[in-house]
Amino acid sequence: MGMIMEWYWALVLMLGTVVGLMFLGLPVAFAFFGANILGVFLFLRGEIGLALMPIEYVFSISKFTLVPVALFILMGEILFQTGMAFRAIAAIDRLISRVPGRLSVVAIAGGTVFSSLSGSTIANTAILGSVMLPDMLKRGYEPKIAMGPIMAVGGIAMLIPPSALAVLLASLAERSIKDLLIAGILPGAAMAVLFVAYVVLRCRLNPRLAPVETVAEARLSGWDRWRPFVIDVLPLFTIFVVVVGSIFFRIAAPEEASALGCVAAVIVCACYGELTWPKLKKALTETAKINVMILFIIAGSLTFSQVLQISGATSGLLQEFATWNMTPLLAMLLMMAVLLFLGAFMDQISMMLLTLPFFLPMADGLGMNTIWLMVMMLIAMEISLLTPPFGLLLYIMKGVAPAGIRLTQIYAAAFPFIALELLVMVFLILFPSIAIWLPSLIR
Amino acid sequence: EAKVLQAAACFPQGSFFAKRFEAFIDTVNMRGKDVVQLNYVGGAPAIGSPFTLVQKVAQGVYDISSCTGAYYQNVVPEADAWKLLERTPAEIRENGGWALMTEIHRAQGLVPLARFNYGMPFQLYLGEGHKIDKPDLSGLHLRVAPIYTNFFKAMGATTQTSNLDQVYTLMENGTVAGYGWPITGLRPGWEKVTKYRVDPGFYDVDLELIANAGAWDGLSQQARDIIQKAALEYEQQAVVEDAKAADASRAKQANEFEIITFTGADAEKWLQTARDTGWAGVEETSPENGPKLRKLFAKE
Amino acid sequence: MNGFRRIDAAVGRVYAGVGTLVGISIGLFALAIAADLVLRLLEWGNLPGMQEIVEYALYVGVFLAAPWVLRLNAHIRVDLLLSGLPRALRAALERLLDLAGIAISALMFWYGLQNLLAAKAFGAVQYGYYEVAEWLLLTVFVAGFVLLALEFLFRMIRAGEAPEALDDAEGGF
Ligand code: NA
Ligand code: NA
Repeated sequence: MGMIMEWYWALVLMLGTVVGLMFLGLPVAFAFFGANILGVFLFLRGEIGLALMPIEYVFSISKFTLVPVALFILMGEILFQTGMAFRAIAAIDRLISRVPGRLSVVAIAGGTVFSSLSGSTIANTAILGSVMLPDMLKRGYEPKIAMGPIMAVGGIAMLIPPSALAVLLASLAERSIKDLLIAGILPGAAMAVLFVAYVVLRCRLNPRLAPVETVAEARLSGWDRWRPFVIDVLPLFTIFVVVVGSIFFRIAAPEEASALGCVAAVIVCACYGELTWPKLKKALTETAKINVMILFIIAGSLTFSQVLQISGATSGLLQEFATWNMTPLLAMLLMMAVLLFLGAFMDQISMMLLTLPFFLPMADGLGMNTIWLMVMMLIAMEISLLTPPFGLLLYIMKGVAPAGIRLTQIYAAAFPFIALELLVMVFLILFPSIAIWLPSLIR
Repeated sequence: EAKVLQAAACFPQGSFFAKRFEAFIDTVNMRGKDVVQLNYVGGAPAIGSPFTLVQKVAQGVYDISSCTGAYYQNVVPEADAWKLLERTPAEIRENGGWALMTEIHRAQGLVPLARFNYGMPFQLYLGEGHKIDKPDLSGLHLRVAPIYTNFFKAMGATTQTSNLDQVYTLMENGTVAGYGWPITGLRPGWEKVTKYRVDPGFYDVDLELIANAGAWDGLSQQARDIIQKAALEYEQQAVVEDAKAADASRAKQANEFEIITFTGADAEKWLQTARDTGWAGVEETSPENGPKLRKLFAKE
Repeated sequence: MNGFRRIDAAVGRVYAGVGTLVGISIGLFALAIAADLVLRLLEWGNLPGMQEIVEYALYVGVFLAAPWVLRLNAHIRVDLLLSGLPRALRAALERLLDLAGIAISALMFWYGLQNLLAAKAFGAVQYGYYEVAEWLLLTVFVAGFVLLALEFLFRMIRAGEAPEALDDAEGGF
């Protein structure tokens, strides 16, 4: 007999198990596996249910819609491993001069450019973290002003197209992928501007954060400054054009666009003479590693949300919310609060999978613009990349940062940027047109 | 103390294709107060893959479910024949068709109790720029469910499967020229990417009420009567209501889509190819029962 | 320990090979999907069944390469508690977690095997473009968790030391 318990106890038990196992330090995927075993045993008739659970894992990740995740990561890895990303950053480095916190600003600018070439927040953060962080620390930048912008701009990769997550969100919600990709551009750009403003302001108020570079950058004349940008950065935008253009002009589905993006990245790198088999192999294996890491968690969390549903926890919570009779504004605030809470300890795709079945009917019922809602969801997910205890980018940063950087330092570095992203969120709540104006232009 | 059975659907909770099952559950729970109760855990995919649900019923994870034949032919290959029904459920209960299906299901530990849909055909829907004027789909790349893959292929189309979430995107991007879907229950938004409907419709949307044989046999006679009676009421209701729903949907779509209608020999070719390819599929996996079922199910 | 070290290193080499193969498979996804698109745009047809191969390859790659990722210590984990503990306690908790990993992997293996046997008994088949027996799909699941359980065991034996470097052949001569 499947156990029947009050929905809130089921919710507490299931979430408690996952979070407990995660906190102990078990790999996240295994925390989900463990909770799933317990949940299926309790709510799906013990052994019988358990003996039919494994096939669910098979179906959960043998999905074509998950392909762009790997391929958008591969795009980023190709540019990273071949050194093209470094050249691009070096070119941007040369463009920007005489700004307080210059290298942090370079990181934000470089990260934003790279956001338009890579759909992977992970690749973005890993590149900037490994390229720029050692240099910044060596030059005496405070770790928090060095790491904060790198992590924050990593998150922009999921707002500015191509974005693996935006594609997933829109296709799961059955709304226009094209609209969502385009809708992310302005909020993403706004965020980058805000980050730069913050860094400059902080470094001006407190010059100890980022030492002024004494080695005076040789005053480069116009063309000498711009030449690397024109040669090493501008051609990279063909990749952006291939991916976003093919989706925009209905030539390709997102899976196909991501495949084209990889081919374009390979061709561009080959044109620069940077493509070798060892580099390509490294890009492929790194992609495999990240893809396995992500999809293993997706497998665990998809089955987890199925168990939550079977236990009655999901519908219990939804019915509870339904009795509150909310206004659209209140509903939006509540949804964002739920996402930010879940985002503290959950990966983006699990968050998405757990909340979409509630949020979409709620939004449709209240007559909310769903593109607006999904952009808000993307920002909430972006914030969750930075919120402890489980924030993917915090861990990526820990992975690429020099030994001796503590996790608590990384948390502290992320904090102001979380606040800035929340600010963008507030702006979007007050002025939804920041999100929905661009897509409305192309109809 | 009422006996509690676990109930689950192959379609999302609250969705069009789960509604009748959900109403049935409410009816049983009302009438069966101290005898039998159905605890509804929800519908696929929220509770797991739709393709594993009936297997779970067979193994006793759930006791009773509503599912379409296409989703559980991995357990009962002949379930594919449910879609090919051209007689009313009442007629096959008379002519031995239902009894044969029961025998086939019981061999896998399942019992079919009722058919919850009847009289709702599948249609071919096409996007902008893909108008056809004869029963020939060559050159068209279509999004299909396995239900009608063979039919569309036999008509010359190339096909691909995808999950439902992707249909909108595939159509929006022009990756596929069209898709198959029942006359009703199109997802919101699909009307924006659809331009044509091809008539006549073919096959019949099927949803069966399937119970675990052990759990069913283990119920008291009183409990079985309550469930079976309610199930038959909904089956009879389906025959009336689905015809109405199909008509209502046709009226609505008449304003949304351009209707391409085959007549005479074209219509005959369209329908006969559908029928032949459908039964060929059943006979391939079940050479013994396939021809028997065709005699009892088809009207030719 | 020498014997263990040698086996450990050999296993590591096999895993690295698996990782490379999975990486190459992802590259092939890109090529196949792009080729399919080009064929369609040229109206030369398409690569039928490609999508399903990609889907199954995605699944197979994830479950077969998961032990490799575990060996690289790259599965995402929250080390908030661990990093706050004193060294001895931390080592003890790590070994306890390895034990939990073995237990969870063993259970996943066991129920995977049950599912495999049931699928075989039922003759459960996925009817898509290809007809794929479900038990065949589950062999990958079962194998993956056997290897994961073993890898957690290896971690326990290594007790916090990094796995043997891959180029141990240099050591001898
Ligand atoms: Na991006
Ligand atoms: Na977080």
